Amino acid sequence: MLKEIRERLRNEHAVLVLIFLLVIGFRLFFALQTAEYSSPESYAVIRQVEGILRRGVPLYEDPLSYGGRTLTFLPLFHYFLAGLSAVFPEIMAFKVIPNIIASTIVLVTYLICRDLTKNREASLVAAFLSGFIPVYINETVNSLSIYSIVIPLTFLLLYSFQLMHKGQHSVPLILLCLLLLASLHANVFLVIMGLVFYLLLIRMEKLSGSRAETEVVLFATFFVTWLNFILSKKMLLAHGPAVVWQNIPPRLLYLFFSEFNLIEAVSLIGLLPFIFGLYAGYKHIVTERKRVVLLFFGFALAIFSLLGMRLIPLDIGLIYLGITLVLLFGQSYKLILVTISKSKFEPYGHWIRIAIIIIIIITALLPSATYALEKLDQVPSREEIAAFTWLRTMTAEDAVVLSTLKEGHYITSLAKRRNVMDNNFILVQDAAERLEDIGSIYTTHSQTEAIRLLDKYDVDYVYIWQAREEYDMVRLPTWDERCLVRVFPTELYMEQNELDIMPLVLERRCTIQVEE
Amino acid sequence: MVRRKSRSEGIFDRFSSPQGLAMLVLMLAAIAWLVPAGVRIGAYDSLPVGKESYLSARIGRQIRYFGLQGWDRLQDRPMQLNPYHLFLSLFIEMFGEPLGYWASTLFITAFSLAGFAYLLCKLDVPPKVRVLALLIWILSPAYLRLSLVLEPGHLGFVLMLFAVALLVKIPEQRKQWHHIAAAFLILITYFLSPFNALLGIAVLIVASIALREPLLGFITLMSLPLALMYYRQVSLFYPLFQPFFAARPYLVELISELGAPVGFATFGLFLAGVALFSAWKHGLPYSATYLPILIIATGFLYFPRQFTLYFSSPLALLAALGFLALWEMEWEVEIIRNLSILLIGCGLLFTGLSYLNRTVNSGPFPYQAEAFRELSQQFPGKVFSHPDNGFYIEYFSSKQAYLDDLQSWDDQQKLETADTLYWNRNLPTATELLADERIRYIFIDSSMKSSKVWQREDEGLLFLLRDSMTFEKLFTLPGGEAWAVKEFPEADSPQPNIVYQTS
Repeated sequence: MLKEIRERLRNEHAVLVLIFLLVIGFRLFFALQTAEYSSPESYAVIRQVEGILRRGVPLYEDPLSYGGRTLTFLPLFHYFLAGLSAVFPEIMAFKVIPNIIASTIVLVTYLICRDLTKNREASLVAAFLSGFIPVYINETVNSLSIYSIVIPLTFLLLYSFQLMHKGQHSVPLILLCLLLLASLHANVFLVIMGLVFYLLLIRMEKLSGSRAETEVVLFATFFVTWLNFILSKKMLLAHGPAVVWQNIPPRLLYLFFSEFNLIEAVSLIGLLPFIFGLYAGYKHIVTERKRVVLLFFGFALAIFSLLGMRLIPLDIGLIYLGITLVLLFGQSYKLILVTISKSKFEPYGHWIRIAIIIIIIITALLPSATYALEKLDQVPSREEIAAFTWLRTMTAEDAVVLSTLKEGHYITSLAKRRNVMDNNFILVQDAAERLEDIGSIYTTHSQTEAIRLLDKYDVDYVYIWQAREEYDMVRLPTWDERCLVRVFPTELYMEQNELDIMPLVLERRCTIQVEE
Repeated sequence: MVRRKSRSEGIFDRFSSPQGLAMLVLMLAAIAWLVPAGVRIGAYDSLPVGKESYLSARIGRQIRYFGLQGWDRLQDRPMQLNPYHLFLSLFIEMFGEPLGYWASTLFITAFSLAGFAYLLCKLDVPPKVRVLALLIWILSPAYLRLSLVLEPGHLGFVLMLFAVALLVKIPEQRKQWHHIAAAFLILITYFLSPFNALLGIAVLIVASIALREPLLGFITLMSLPLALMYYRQVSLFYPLFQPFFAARPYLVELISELGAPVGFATFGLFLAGVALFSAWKHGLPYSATYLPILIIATGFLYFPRQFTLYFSSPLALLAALGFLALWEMEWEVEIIRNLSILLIGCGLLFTGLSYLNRTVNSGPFPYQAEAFRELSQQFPGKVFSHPDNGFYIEYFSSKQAYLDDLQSWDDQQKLETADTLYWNRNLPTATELLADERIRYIFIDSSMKSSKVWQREDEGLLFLLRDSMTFEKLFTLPGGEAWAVKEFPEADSPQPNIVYQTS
């Protein structure tokens, strides 16, 4: 008996560890191809980490962003990274460990599926699949994303909640996960909503409800509301309920909170989890009423509702949805195994399994690799880094550099200079106006207008790289080498067509004076 | 169930005698008044909070020096008699300025507590509910606002509490004079604001139906024409709902944590929900009055600021019942129970503290007052600024403000002229308008320059002010800067400064 258990443990866990290592290997293969990061926000995080290492607290009064502003955010993730970077080298702290943590979703998925299905194979396949959800890879593989921690933690919380039907021993784990999650990100509300939906579904299905579960949900609701009121007080007072949209200018809102599109969703989640997950949902709602499945169904319902109302960004919603569907996929997989074992196809069971694995590789692993490669293309190029280095070393420390919205964090983090705008809009009163003004500066043909706007934000340098693509221009229309003079690249004589494909820095050397 | 009951009662019994609990409540109530008022007196030059306070203070001061008049002497416009202004002038008379303001807020907060306690006694709720309700009331944003702001509605709130308490006396104790006293108190509130008049009428109607009391019905009927005539008279000059009573996005007005000027505490609402749910679960005793009361109360949501102030006390009672329901509920997970109760307590406390911090640290600030006072040193004349500064200009500089938040029907033209003045860059047009409107001074503060009016340094009037031939800069202070129109026909100036002899 003991030998059998040991044998089983060895095989089952060895496969799980293998999957875990495979996912880590996959992620690190892409992440370590470059020293840079694929999202500008990663650089903003690194700046905060540097701030913590230098002063012990994050930069709540940021002198560079928007030319100087107050920031408000939950700092636990930054402290965690600061702790790591104090112990490990940068590449380990910012690339390897976050990817390892993100890969723990494999372990959490396994635990959940094991409890849900009581089937080793289904749990291992689901765990494998969860490591290669394209949208999750896309978000976390080469970025310092808080979702590397938040996603596994969210599902660990759901797992500990799932364990409540076995007794109350999981309550301390629930409390710990809740505390960490609520201190990390406001998306904890999603979990609360999912839990409330779960309780409602149980009532609707007339299943026997557990009082302890209701109590935990009640407490979680109180706790999360209270903590968010305390931690996000400034944001709430400044923006009111509209804080969900993060004060994003209306023109950009559709980019952040885009509409749910089924085809896009399937490609980002993976075909297999989508089909199998929905099938499991249908099966357990309509025919077999299984209480624990309702927990994940309730969570999926919460995500769908929020996505439908555009209250969470699409890609983030799809990460949660993708993993939830993978968990339900485990159920479907088990159902398939049972059906096969009872059918005439039983002798071909191995071939069917191999076919499923091939489909997983085609629909999940390959898209994940494609997204990871795409992400690698989004890191700042060598020329861009050279331009930012020039700005950092050759300009005054209080210089203001105009860039596109996307490049705002690069200006503050890589060039260490003040920007006009970046994509952290919280507490900014004139975000929409700034965005419009930036567009006008890059596109106007009137030099007076351009200089007036540059004066308005005290801009000393204009950085041109992504603006070419964003504003569909080759050259800055008002660049005349008298008022706006090229200072980077530093070579004096360069062909115009050469300049048109390089990052440029123009210095403003004139101003508008109104005679009194 | 039995075990829980004995525990909760045990705690109440162990930690408190009725006197001890009363002392605890009184002590906390005193602290809840003393802290905000003390900070404003000590660190904010004794300035009450909110611009509406300065209209009340100025009119109270006028009554104190010139007696009861239906005319605003400074702004040269009709001003209906308001019992609150009379009340405030009495305090100014007794204690002087600014002590009188703070004495009036002390009086109102103390009597709000007494009124609520009296109401709870008359409602015959158990002592522990009473104590909890009073504690929740003390921690509520509404109570804290009473300590800081001079507003007619605050007096109305206290009067209404006592009136309702007199009306809910149990039938055996009820006497005719209770009804007459309650009706008298409610009648006083009629003259405070349109909201108070509507609320008073609603309370009298509900009370006369519920108590089947013909005398109350008769008083209600008699009072209706009185209210109608009074507000008809007011409406001839002013729109009944003034901009400074107007609400911002609705939810923001209702929830304190979202930045409401009064607002309900979120945990208070949670607990009230628990109380209603629990009552429903245990079979809420049905009364025919519930539905009409609910419908009438819902109608008052049209006035979110006053609604949140007046309905904070019933909410405190419901929250207390909800808290006890949670306390006495059978919990399966002990640690969750303890944490939940601790959390709710902390939640209520932090809402109060957060509101306190926000309100105490809001305007006007001493540096603003200094800038407005600096204007009083100048020759008499009308001051042009943003309507938000109107009451401050009138109070601190004793000068007529071209625009303030109490806008009459005739002020529409003034608003259009103000818009032209803000944005126009044509000097002759501006000087002509300034002369026509007899504006002598222009006061601009930093908020006007940063998006309240202008976005840029050289927009509209800001550009014209650079012309030193037409405008003379009087001063630049942290609270604002002022200009004088140079060619102002001094002899024609109809506006003397009103100088009050401060006691």
